[in-house]
Amino acid sequence: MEQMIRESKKREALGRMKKESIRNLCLGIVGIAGLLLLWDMVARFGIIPKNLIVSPWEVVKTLAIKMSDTKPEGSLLLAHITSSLIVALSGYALALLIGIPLGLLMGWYKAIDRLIGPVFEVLRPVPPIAWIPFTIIFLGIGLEAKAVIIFLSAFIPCLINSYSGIKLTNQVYVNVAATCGASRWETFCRVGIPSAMPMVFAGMRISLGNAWSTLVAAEMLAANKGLGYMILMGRTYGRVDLIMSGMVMIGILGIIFNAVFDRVERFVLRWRVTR
Amino acid sequence: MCRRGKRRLAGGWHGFGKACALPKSNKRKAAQKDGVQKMKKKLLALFMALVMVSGVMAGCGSPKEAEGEAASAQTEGEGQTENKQAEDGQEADEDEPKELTKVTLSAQPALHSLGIYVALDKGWFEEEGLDVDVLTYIAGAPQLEAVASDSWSVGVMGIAAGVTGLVSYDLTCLGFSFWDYSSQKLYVRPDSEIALAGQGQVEGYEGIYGTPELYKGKTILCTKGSLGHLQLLATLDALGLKEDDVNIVHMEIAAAYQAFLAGEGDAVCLWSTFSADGEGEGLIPASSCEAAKLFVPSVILASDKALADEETTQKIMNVIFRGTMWVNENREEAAQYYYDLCIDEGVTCTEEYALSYVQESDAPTVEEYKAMFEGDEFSANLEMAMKYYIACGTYSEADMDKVMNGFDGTMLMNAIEFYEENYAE
Repeated sequence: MEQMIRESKKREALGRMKKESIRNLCLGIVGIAGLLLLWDMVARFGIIPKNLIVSPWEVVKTLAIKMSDTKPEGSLLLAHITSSLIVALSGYALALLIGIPLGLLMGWYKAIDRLIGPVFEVLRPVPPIAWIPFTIIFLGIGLEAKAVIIFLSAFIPCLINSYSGIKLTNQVYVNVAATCGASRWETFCRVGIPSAMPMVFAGMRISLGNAWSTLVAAEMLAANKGLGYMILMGRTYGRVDLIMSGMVMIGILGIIFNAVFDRVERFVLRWRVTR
Repeated sequence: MCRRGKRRLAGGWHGFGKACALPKSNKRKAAQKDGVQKMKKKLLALFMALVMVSGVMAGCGSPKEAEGEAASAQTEGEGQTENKQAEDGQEADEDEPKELTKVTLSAQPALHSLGIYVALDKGWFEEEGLDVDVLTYIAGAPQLEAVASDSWSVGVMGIAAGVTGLVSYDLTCLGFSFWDYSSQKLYVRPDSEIALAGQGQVEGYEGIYGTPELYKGKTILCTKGSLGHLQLLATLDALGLKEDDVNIVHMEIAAAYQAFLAGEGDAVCLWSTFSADGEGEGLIPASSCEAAKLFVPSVILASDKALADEETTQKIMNVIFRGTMWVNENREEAAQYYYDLCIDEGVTCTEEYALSYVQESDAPTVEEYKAMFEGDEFSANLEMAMKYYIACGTYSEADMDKVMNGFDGTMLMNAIEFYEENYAE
């Protein structure tokens, strides 16, 4: 009897969650549809002049044309996407590889914090675009230079969140680990890092957004392919459809990455209690 | 906003003081602490007020400056107009202020726009009854984006931006001011195989260095959509090559020059003061507009709004043409204007470069202008530029029609006539 009640409660909870996720999906679709409708009306009725905005359908048409036509900027849409993905993900990966361990170590070991903290504070306010002249001189104009521009914008949230996350480790857990005879390093690995993970993931999510938003700046450095380059060329040739297509593509890729990221986060942090 | 913040701070402090009943011995300390806090808050409020005021001032700075400049130019112009009238023996009624028509022009810190700045300085716009604001843009792309939001009515720019203006922004070409090819060059390093091969190896294009094979697969740093890009396309065409035969990397000119000096790329497209700098660094001009036989003019474009007010636009054209002819006939003085303009707009320039650039640049005489527009020389130049763009896929054949139909030289011809009647010696 008790089991039946438990199962029915579980079913009820699952049903509620399903209903809620359907409702959330519907709300999301309505929001996007509303935006598209508003955008279409603004373009269709000339509320904003035609040489400043094109309708969503024209953007779709341009994206379809760009699948097989290299004109006017010289590359296919797929080549632009691939190039941008390589640049953005290289910089992002670099930011994760350096930012997260460094933030965790700085948060756990005071000596590292005191050594690196002031340098980080000096470099933190410098906008990534300001580094372009130095990256040209020291790294040239290839992938490395562009990845470093992305890295500079994605690195900061990774480091700050990892640092804050590990700083917020519950002292009780640390004491328990010490009582059980764990070394400082073991406590760092087995208590500090897991407890910092929710904040680390939040930082990774912010970094991903930063990496995409710096793409145009990175491709301003030098490019002959990429979504940022496509936008720049659209600007040069006065092609609003090309500009908006590039923007929409960056947005779509951002949504895809966010969805993938959600799954990864849910899997890695499945132990976390969620409300 | 400022007042609301102040009231909130003051109320908070006052409330705290009333609510706390402190022992007598602690009262003095508390009073001192409160005093310090009060002072801190006052300082904070003062600092925030200063930040806000400076923000507001900074935001309002540009238009005020522009107004000030316009006002001073107007005063100066009116003074000169009066002098001229006095010279002509006409009686000017000083009590009756002249009503000026307000117009906004756009220009670039380049020789093709210099006539506008000279006319502004000499007060020639006011003589024509115009109160002119000039918006200066460093490149064609932002200049064209501004016309889309009606920021200016008539503008002067290079042909690359001009073609975009005709194709994508439905502007009308009213004519041109100067030839725009003298400083556009493709540079290579002195030890590159192209430079070492020397000139005279391409039949019909003796000024170009190297052979077509030497250019194949080379990485060329270039600002796409600029006249430098057009010059590169003309060079490749002269070599019998296509855009795909080389690797063109799009970079802004300053970054491209810096990267090239740092060892990136095999060649770089430079113009204006960067060309002079490049030659100063010992770079070799492997090709140029002249070497590739690309003789392109700068263009004067007008929006539909400007065309609707034909009388005002004609006056603008009269003044621009007068300014251009003055630059053409007074090269040394014009070089000083050019140098000052570059410095004002933050463009690197030296007096020596300004002099050599202005003196070497080509501008037609009045007779040559007339011949160009009476015949089809000007439209042939536009057509030639478009052919290169069409060949590389930037524009289509349909765009060619837009460019060729978007030209109307009537106002420039009227301006030439006006100039001959009033100012030509």
